[in-house]
Amino acid sequence: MKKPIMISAFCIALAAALLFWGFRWSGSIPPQEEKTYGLTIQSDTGSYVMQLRKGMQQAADELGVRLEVYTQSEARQADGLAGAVLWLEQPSAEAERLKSLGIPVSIVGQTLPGFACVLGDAESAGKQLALYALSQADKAHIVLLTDDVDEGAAARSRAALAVAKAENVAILGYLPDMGLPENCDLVVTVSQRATLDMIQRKRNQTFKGMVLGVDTGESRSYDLEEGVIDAMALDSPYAIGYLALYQAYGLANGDSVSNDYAKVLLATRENMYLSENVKQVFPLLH
Amino acid sequence: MNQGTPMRKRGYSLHNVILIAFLACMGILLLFVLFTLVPRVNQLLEQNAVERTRETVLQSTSTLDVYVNSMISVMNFVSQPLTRGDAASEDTLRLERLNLMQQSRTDIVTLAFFNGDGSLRYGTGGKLRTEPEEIRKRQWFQNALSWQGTSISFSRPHVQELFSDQRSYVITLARGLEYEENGERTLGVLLMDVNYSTLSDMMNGISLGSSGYVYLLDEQDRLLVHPRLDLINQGLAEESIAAVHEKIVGVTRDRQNGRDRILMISTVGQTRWRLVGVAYADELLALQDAFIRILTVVFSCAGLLSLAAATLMAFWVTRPITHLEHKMQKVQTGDLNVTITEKGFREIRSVSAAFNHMLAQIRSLMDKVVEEQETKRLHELNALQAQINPHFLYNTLDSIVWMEERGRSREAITMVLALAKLFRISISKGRRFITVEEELEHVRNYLIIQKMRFKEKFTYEITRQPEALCEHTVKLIIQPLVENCINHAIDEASGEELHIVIDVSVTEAELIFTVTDDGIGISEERLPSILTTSVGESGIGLKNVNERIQLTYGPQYGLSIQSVEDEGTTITVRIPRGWEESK
Repeated sequence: MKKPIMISAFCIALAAALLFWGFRWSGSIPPQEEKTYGLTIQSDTGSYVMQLRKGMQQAADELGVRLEVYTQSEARQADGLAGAVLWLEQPSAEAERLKSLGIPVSIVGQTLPGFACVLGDAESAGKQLALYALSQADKAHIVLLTDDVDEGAAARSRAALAVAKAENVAILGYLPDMGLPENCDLVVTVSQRATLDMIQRKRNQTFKGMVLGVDTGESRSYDLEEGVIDAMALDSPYAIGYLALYQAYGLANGDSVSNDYAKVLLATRENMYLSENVKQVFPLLH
Repeated sequence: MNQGTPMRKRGYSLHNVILIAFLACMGILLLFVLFTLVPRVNQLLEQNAVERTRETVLQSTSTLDVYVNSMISVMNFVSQPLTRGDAASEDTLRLERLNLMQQSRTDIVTLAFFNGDGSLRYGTGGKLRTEPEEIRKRQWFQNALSWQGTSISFSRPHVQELFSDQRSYVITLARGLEYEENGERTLGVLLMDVNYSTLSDMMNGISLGSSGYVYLLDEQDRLLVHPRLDLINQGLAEESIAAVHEKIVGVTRDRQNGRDRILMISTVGQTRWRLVGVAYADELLALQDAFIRILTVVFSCAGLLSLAAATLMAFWVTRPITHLEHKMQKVQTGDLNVTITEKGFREIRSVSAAFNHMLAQIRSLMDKVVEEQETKRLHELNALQAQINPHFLYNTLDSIVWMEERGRSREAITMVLALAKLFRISISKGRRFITVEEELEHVRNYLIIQKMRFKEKFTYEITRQPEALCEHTVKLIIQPLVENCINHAIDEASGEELHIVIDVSVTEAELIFTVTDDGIGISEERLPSILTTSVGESGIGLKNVNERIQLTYGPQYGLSIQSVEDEGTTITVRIPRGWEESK
């Protein structure tokens, strides 16, 4: 006698529970707490950091996270970060500090053992410079100035060397105020100091050939327009920032990540005004 | 009643049939709703979502159209003075007009007018840093000249570097203008640089759902504006335009990065640009998903509630039937004192009432049978008792002694023999039924004894049909009738001799015994109660005989008495033929 009543009561209770839980499940998803990622910078001025921040903000918008920008001193006060990106001259101390706090770290602009990094593709840049040089002048009149003043220059040197050696191009290690062969019509430089040196020589008219080099800084577009440099390998801080935040996000989620390399543009007077290159050649413009 | 184990249950349970039938009906109804309502609602939701998105895209296109038209209007406005009058004399005024227009609008970067040879006539950009030959090579210049003012050339986004003090990221509008100089009509080019950020901000502010967006393609299907244009240029993102490439305007679909997309394409007037709205199907149809989830929950609840309702209904409907079944099973085991409570549905009440009535009738019938059996037993017991009734025995034995004392031994012996035969047939080894011949022998011996006692008081004769002799009858039915005649028919007052005739005849179906006398008869008043009169001397009354006959053969048989006072009485006994002991 009681069995049917018990079965019915059970079914009604189950239906009520299902209705309660079901409408919660079918309703809107409760908002998740927004995680915060920090960018610690060495300087908050300049087009590089501006584009770096823009790229990171784009990534933050896509990932649904918040981006906060700190100076080094501010970063020590930061709390509750899900991940961090460091763009510092000497990032190791800060990186270790954050690592000790369990905050995943991504390094921008240089490599640091034990940490994931995002860099411009220096080897690609070196190779592009070398190949462009070969397309512009007789290889007999090309000089490659190698330099290992920094990690990027060293990488560019290695890549350019590989091409230069295969083509029997003259290779010289850069030294300030060094002399150049008389028949030199085109100089390939792989470090900023060498590039600026050659630009100065062109301005001084102590060198009248073509100069291919790396990013000269905020005057890059003018240098190209003036013709004191004929081709410039430019990093994309926007892409670097974008990749860096994704890298930090992956680390925070437990993914295994490796170093990322952003595409490098070889800007010339022919392509410097194109819309696809404007962000790198005229970073303050767009 | 067959007492024993309850009837074995066979067939389907009514409870389960009702339960299954109810669930089946609910299931069919739910499935009907599911297959008719859900696809239609889904379709309507999808149509609604797509339509709303399409409207957003069209609205965006309209906004862009308005903007482009406003730019064209500006160009028309600034070009009008040039086409009227002598060009050179009013250049200053025209430049002022250009400056006024450029300063009044933040989206206009530069306004300039070039001669047909590429030299700058006047403009708001300052000093020109590009040689006229270089300007003549520019695509916008060539387009403007070749189209001769019939159409406006819209460039791709680029950095404008024509002027020394200016680097802007712009879209260049250029239009050929015919003007008069020194009396001759010639063609120049009006240039207007519009800030790219105005257009990109306008486009990138439009969202379709949480992930959807719009982008702009030029006439060669190259991206002009896209929310991820920088990433696409860096090779970090991609935008598939294959589906858009195949369709000029309208709605199409594709799939990118594992997500289905709905693409709505419209054209921007005057420019040959196309605006593409990208909406993600999973976002557009989120409401559909929510509807499906809600429907799943509701249908599941409906199923559970149906099960609950079906269980309760089956229980409610079958409970009185089950109650009825249990009671019937008790009856089947022999308990006839069961009473079923008349409750529940009308039909169940009716069945319960009928069953109670049937049980009452059975009980009554059984009581009646028991009573009849008891009566029969009593009558037989009485009849048996009558066989050894002491009065008749005393009187007969007295008669024998008297005869013997008087030396009438032969008569004594005759009486003794008759008595012995009488008692022998009475007992009949315990049989209830004897042959008619035996019954007649019984009454004959009785009459011998009574004749010897009552001598001249009566005479008798016995007649019968020969075929009746071998028939069977319940014993001791004629002798009581004869005894009744002797006891009541003799007219003591007149002293006339009573004549008794005993006859046995048969019909096709019956045996008929008649005992007729010519005695004093029975008054009409007394006749009805004869069959209830108490026992006679022999101990067996007419009532006993009649009741025994009816108990044995049925109420349609028994005694009937016809009598006329002072003339005589006939008692007729009718019993069926062919009735034997086994029955």
